[in-house]
Amino acid sequence: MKDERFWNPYLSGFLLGLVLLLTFYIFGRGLGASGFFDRLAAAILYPFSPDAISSHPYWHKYFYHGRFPLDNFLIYLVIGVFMGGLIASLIAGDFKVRTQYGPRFSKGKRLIWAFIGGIILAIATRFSRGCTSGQALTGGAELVVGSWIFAFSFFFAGPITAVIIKKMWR
Amino acid sequence: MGPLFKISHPSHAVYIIVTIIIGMMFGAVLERAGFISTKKLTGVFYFDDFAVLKVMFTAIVVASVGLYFLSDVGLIDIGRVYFSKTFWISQLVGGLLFGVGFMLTGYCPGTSVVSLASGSIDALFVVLGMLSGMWVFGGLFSIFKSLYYAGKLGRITLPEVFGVNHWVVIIIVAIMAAGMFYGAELREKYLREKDKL
Repeated sequence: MKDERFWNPYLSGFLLGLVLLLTFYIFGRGLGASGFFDRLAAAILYPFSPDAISSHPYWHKYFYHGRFPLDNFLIYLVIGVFMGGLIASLIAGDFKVRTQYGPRFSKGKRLIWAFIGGIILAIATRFSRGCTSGQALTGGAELVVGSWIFAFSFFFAGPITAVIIKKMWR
Repeated sequence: MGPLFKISHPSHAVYIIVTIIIGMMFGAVLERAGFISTKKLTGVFYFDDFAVLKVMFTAIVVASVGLYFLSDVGLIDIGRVYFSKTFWISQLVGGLLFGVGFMLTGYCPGTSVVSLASGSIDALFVVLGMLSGMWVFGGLFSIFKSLYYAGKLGRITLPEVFGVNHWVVIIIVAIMAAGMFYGAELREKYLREKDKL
């Protein structure tokens, strides 16, 4: 819907496309976000059991050649995403401490479902090997087969879930 | 000739600073697109706000045209651009779960970070949930492992699958996007007029 607070979506999309293209040109890779959380998760566990985490069947890839999971493109990128979001929301006057949910829902329930949904979202990104940024956007532009499969199944499950949990949002 | 940082390696400090600047541009565009609002984000699946669809597919087309054009004219070595490997069964399941997670949280991972930066408490819970979800996945990896590696096809693109030039696929994607934009505009116009009554 037309919302005067925000930029025209086609303009936003054009600029987002240019940012992605610039990322391809400079780094030889695309954007991403979910990898940040996985790397952070591995890094937090590491001090408790360095050997177990650095040889873990899934997380060991973050420790190749003596590397540490936090010294990575996605970590710096998402730190930048947070800063960019903060600055843009302050300048635009959007910054506001708030909790968002539909008129028929409650704040407590919203926060519980936000947490549970976050768990599902994270597990989903492991199977899909990325999220909207790393798969739909980056892989979509690269024309990667798996990325388009991800995008289609995401757009298939989304509307069905939307109907089931309508009370949460509308 | 690109990719710049793969042709000539920058210092670690330059790499970090440039990455943070790119991230800031990414975050600022997501914020200005309105992706701090769960109403706007969930609107794509309630068919009452198509900003997500418009932003995403415009960006995909712009970046795709740009990437393959730079490659065709020799300004980027596309062989040195990272393409994620396809595990189609795993990614199909991942996409379905992602649709559920997106609707339950009202965000995707990137937009949850931007919304948190703009002051959303609910986004903080999503972020904490995602961190926990990574622990769940890592902890249960032995159970998830066979599905995780299911449908392995390697580095493969749509033009390779269909045996056509990449521009054929890009034009089809662009036409598909234009068709969806047209439908989205009609639907939004209908909703605006209904609101006025």
